[in-house]
Formats: sequence, C-alpha cells, structure tokens
Amino acid sequence: MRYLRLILMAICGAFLVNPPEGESCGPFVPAAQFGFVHNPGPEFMKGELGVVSSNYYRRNLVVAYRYLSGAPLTAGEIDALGPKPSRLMVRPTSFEMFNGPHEAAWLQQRTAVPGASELRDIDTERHTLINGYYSAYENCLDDAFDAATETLAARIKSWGAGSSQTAEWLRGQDQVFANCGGDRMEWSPPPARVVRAEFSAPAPLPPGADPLLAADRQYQTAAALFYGGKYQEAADAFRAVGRTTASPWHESGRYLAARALIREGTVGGEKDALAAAEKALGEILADAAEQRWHASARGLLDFVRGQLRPEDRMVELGEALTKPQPGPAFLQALTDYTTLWDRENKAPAARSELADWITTFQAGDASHAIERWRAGGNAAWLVAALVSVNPADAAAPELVAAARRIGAASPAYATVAYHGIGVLTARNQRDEARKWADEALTANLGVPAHNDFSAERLALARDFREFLRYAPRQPVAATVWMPDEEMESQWRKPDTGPTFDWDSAIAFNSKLPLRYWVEAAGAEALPRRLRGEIAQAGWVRAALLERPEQARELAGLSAGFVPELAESLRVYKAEQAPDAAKFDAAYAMLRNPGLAPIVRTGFGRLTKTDQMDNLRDNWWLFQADDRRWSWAGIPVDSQRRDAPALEFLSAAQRAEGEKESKALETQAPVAPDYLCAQTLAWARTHRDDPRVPEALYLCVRATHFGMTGPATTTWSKRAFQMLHSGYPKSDWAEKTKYWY
Amino acid sequence: MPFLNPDAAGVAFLSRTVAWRDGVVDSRARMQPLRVPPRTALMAVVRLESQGGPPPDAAAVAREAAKAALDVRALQVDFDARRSERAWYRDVLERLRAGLPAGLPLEITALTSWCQGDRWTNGLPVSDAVPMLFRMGPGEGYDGGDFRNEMCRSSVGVSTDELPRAVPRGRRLFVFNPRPWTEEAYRGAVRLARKW
Repeated sequence: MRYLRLILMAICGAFLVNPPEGESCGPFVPAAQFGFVHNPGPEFMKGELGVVSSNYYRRNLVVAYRYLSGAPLTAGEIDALGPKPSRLMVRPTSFEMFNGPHEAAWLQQRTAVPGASELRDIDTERHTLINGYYSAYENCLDDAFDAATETLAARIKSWGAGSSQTAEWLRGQDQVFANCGGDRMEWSPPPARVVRAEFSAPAPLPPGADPLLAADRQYQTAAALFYGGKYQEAADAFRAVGRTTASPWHESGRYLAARALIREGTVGGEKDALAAAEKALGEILADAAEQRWHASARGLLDFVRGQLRPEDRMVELGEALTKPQPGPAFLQALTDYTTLWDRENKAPAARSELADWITTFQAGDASHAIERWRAGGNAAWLVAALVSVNPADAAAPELVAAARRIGAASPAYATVAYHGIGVLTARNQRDEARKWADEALTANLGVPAHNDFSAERLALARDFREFLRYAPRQPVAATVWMPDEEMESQWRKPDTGPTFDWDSAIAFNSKLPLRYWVEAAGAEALPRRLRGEIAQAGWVRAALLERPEQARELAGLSAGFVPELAESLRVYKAEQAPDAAKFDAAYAMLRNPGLAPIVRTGFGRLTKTDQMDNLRDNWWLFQADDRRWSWAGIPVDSQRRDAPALEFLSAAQRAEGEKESKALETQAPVAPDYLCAQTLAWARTHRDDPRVPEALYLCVRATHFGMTGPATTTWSKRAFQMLHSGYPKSDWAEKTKYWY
Repeated sequence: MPFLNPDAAGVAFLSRTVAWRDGVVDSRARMQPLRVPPRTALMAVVRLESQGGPPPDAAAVAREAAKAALDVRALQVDFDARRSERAWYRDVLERLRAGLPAGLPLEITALTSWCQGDRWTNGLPVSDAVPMLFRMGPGEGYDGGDFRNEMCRSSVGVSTDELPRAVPRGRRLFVFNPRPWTEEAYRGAVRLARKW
C-alpha cells in the first residue's frame, strides 16, 4: 500500500444524515443542553418557536417560516413531522442474524418447498465505484421479498409444494435474488476473497411449460435483469410483460419499465434514461387504464424532475411548502426540498420567497432582510433583519421599535425580543433591555426561550440577588455524542431540575469572590441541589485558599446538603490549628472524590460525592496550559463566549475574585498532586495519627483514579513508599500493591 | 472531495455500521455517496456500536465487517470497547484478520488509555492502532508525548475542531472533520500534516 501521511476521515457526514439512535462510540457522559442548536424539539413544530436560530437545519427553518409568515402548520403536517419509530432493528431469526424481517420471511417461506437448496442469507446491498464516485445502495427492497413470499404461497396453493412447477418457480426466483448483492467477500472457508458479481439469469423454460409458470418466468427474467444492473434490457423486458395480457403481471409492466429507467439514471448516472423515465411516467399518468399506478407514478415523476431540473423543482416545492397541504405530502415535499438543496448546495433565492428567506437568514444578510422587510415583508423578514443587524446600524432603532410592537402571542415574539434586547444592550440602553427581558420572562414562551431570556437577564443583573435569580436553567435535552447534535430520542427532558449553564458556572469559578459563594449557598431562592453544589465547592475553595472562617461556614452548609460529607466536615469544623485543619480538609477530600473547587455546568458529576466515578470525573484538574486548539490555531476556550459582565461587582471585588481563581490554579492545579503533598507533609510530622496510613492509601488511589499531571506519578510513588516503609503491616499497605 | 490530491491524501470513510442492543442487531452499509478523485486511496471504516446488552456472535460480526473490505486499501474497525467487551472484540478482530486477504491491512481506532499503558491490546492482530486525540472522555487525555504502546506509534487521529498543540512527529495523520469537508479545510489539513 502506498503510504500516505494524511487521511481525511469522512465519517461524520454519514451520521448527520442518518443519525444513529444511541451513542456512537461511548461511553460518553450525557451533556445537558439548555437550548437547541440544530434541531428544536416537538413544541417547535407546534408553533412554540422560541428564539429561532440560523443554525437550525433547513427543514426547521421551513417550519419557522410557515409560522412567521402567518401560515401555521396544520395538525396533519405537525403529525407528519413527529418522531418516527426508531430505525429498524432486526431480531435474530432462525436464519442469519443480519437478514431483515422481509428477507427472513422469504427465506422461511421457501423452506416450504421440498428439496429447496439451503439458503440462509441474502445480501441486498450493492456498492459502486465509478469515476471516483463511491456509493452503496439497497438493490432489493422489502416489497420485492414480500411479493415473492406472497407469490410462492399462492403457487404452492395452485400447484402443490412438491410439484415440479413450484420447484422450477423457486429456482427462477432464487436466480432473481442472486442478483441483489454486488461484489462480495467470499468469507468461508477463510481467507476471504473478492468475488465479483455476475449476472444470474433464470433458465428459459422448455416449450409447452405451464402457462402460469411461463408468465412468472417472463417476469422473473425482467426482475433479474433489473437487479443485475441491466436496466435497458430490464425496461424492454418489463414492457414485454406489459404487452402479455395473459400474464398476471402485465398491469405492472410499463410502471416497472419506468422504474428500471430511473435506476439507470440514478445508479448508472444516465441523464437520458431519466428523461425517458419522465416521458414514460407521463404516459402512465395520461392513461386511465393505469389508474392503479398513478399515485406512485406521480411521486416518481416528481423525483425524476428533481433529478433533471433541480432548480425548477425547488421553486415548485418552495411554493408548495408555504401553503397548508396533507401531512404526508408536506413531509415528502420537505424531504425533497432539503435533499435537493443539500445536493445542489444552492437554492433559487431569486425565484422563491422561501429560498430567499432561508438564504438570507442563514447568511445573516441584514441589508437584504431590511430591504425586504421595508418593502412590506412579513414578520419573517423582521426576524431575519433583527438577527443580523449591526446594533450600530442606523436601521437598528427602527427594527427594535417594530419588534416592540409585536405581542407575546406572535410566533415571532421570542426571536425579535431576544435580538432586540441584544441590540439595546449593545447600544447601552440597559434599563430598556432589562424591562423587555423581564416582560419576556413572564410570557409563556417555552423552556428553551425562558433559558435564553434568563441568560440575557443574568448578563444585565444589577445585583447578586438578580444574578442568582436568573442563574438556574432547566435542561431541554441530553446529548451524548456531539454536544450540538440533538436527536429525536434525546428530546426527552431529563428530570434533574434546574441547573447551571456556562454563564453562571464561569462567573462562580473565575469571577465571584468567596464571599458570594457563602451568600449563594445560603440563598433560599436557589434550588436546594444548586445550593449544595455551591456549598461543597465553596468549602473546597475556601479550604484550599486557607480562609478558615468562610470554610467553616461553608462546611456547615455543605453538611446539611450532602449528608455523606457530614462527619468529615464536622471534624474539619472542630479543628482550630491551621496545619491540622489543612490535613483534615485533604483527608476529607481524599475520601470524597466528588469534591472540587468548581461548580459544574449541566448535569454535573453523575456519581455520588463519596464514590469514585468510573469515567475519572474525580476531584479536579486546572490546566494552566490549554492544550486544546481549534482549527484556526485559536484556543478552544477563547472561542467561547466571555463571562457575563457582572456589573454589580466593584473593581476591588472583581480583582478579588480573579485573584482567588488564579491562586487556586497556581496552588492546586492537579488534585491528586495537591492532596498527596498535604498528606505527605502531615505524615512526616504526625506518624502516629491513625488516619495517616489510610490517607496514604487514598493518595495512591487518587493518583490512579483522578485526573493527573506530569508530576502525579512522582507523588504516587512517594505516597506508596511512605505507606510501605512506615506502615508495612497495615491493612492499607496490604491493599496498596502498586503506585501509578 | 474533488479538491483532494490523491498523491497527498487518502480518505477513511464510514463504510458500515454494526449496532446492537439487547441481542438485537442492525448492520447497514453507508448509503451516502462519497465523491473522491480517481486513484484516491480509500480506507473503509467499520463502526461497531454497543447500545446496551451483550454483544452478538463474534463470527457474524466479523463477517459483516468484512463486507466493507471491497475495493479499499485497508480496513479500520472503530469500537471503544468497554472492559467487559474486550475479549469479545479481540475475538472479532482475530476472526476478521483470519478471514481477510493477507495483503489487506486491518487497523483499529484506539482510546488514548489503550496506548498509554493499558496492556489489553497486546497481541491484537492489527497493523495499527490509531489513538484518537479528540472527543476524549473523562480520564482520557493526551499530554503531547509519545505513546507507550508500540502499536499506537504509527498514526494519530485529530479533529479539525479540537486540535492538540502537537503530536508525535512523522506520524500518519487522520483528520476528522465534524462538518463537511471543504477545500479550505482540506488545505488546512495538508498544512497540518506538513507541520507535524
């Protein structure tokens, strides 16, 4: 193999198109989301739009446009967009594990024929690699196996299971399905080898054969040509079936001939074949005798036109999608529209209002949006304008004034209010922005929008009480793969109660001085779980910073919220000597891997405080040197939004908070290292303290299960050696067989 | 990816996913077209996904994985096996290796912990274990140094949105892009490969 140093991984694209239901390569810790990034939840489809984001997938933007333009989805359309059953999972059958239920039913049915050759698996996929265009496709679809199963049952009934006709029919049908798979790996006996697909034709029947069998064989031959990729011949053969009026299959002949041409056009890339298919489908639709196939032919014709003239088709679909229609038709149009847009990577914005709006909204083209809105455009254009307008733009006040006139019942309200507040804040009209945010928070706009307005209001907080009031947020989704990829199965709202989003967590962890931690831990207005989180993190923080008064107060509060900490914290609180208190704190932390000097966002740590987390979310690690860099060479963290302004902090308080954070990062960057250092220092001077051997054992354990740094191994070894040299006969030494 | 220079880069593409949950198995091939220039070296990636419950029959999974080995230069299996799944994973890989043509390299993706001292991968019948230095869960990390496990010293995997500051030099570089590949992103990957 030629050795290439650069391999591009084209994996994710497949998952975005067809997301798996569960986690992809876990284990991953579920991440809380407080709003939707690409895929809003089911309430959105019902018109609770919340703050519409230009990052939403286009299918969602079509839905948003419908509501914003005053044409809400009908009940049928909402229903059509509802969650679908999870993707097909196949139960193992007596046949091979990987057959689908339709293939399995066919394999089962054919065993009713005595002497049928053994067949346990049918490969239904083919892949092509033509001019570098790699693709795989499902060659034989479920209905093919259903039809075969049904027909075999009928033929057994007519001819008998053991008849020669039935045996011959089955031989022919096996030849048909032998064309389903393409090139394959012949697996057994090993080693595998590539076997190229060869066309498998049902044998011609001798003259005088049973007429029904002969008609079936004509059809089987056409089907074999179809699955074997001989599309022109298949089309001719199906047309011949259509002309054989005595055949039970003749009604399907013309329709299947058109399908063969479509397959040639898509798999084979023959545009002429698609044009021929368009003509054939048009003829079927014009023929009343083909009524049975009209609905299906209409769908195929739409598909073919999309392939041949995608822009025209998108204009049609854009027009159709802006008006109410039956649910299934809406869903099909939406699927076709977004598929064509993705494939063509452009849309006819000049010819279609819908395409124009989506293009403008996604591109953030404020001037075009303003122009369209001023020209009498609907609320959708005001939304597009406000989302992208520069707050310094002369048009901004005009847009804000228009947004202010929109009532809370309007589907546009949340979006225009959110961005209007943003404009006012940027223009330093903070009182007005606050007033608007307060109004929005009292409107019933759904949880995601409430979270959005809470974030805006928190950033405008005038005092700490206001900060605490708007800090708790209710998660709306849990994701386990990429944090910004909501999936339908994860729209369920995790039952965790309110928790912290990034803004309040970053404010606590890097800006707020300890005195605010004490106040927050005692604030009745905060949910109990969050108070407990702040109290225990605040206690760790105070202990590390050696602030005994605040540490004792926070220890008392923590014990009330986290019963498993009560005993350790009681000892700590009772100790007056600073050195002893320092060791008491380290000992308590070693026994409780969930303790850390930071509050966590989202669901927080998923394991109890006194238990070890299997995914090593134990204690803490401050990375002074951010090793994660983005594509553009910018540290990932600096790409995130800044901490909220916290205008209620004085300059001195701000400096105090930042100094405390820096001190923590400097003094105790790696928890196991810090805890081992404290333990070893105490152990050297207090060899008889009965807690020391256990603490040394716990140190070594922390270096194994905690997050580590370059010096951790050194600390691990020191603790191990002191334990084994100082307390060789202790149970703790016995339990400590290695250092890490 | 018409912008790709086949003399400079290859493509590792998801070719098949085999997922299971509580004994129920789903195996499906990639159905999204992949447009690459002629002569591009292709590596098929087979993703194994446990969604809960015991893993299925190893022989059947190996056979499914082998389906991806058509018309490619190498086969890579992507599975973050839990401790309880390691013996089963080894079984799958051994069966797969035994069944594949001898000249076709079999590789795996690897958690960094597998490469930094976890010895369970010793003796796996693979030519390369690619440590993936992105989307690392708690307890997984990378400090910029080289990997202890010899098997992990040929390649590294990074993501365009989560690059480590540096990786061991001279390695084959797998660049994962969570967004569609563009020419600009491709050029960035080429620059990165030159730098590293």
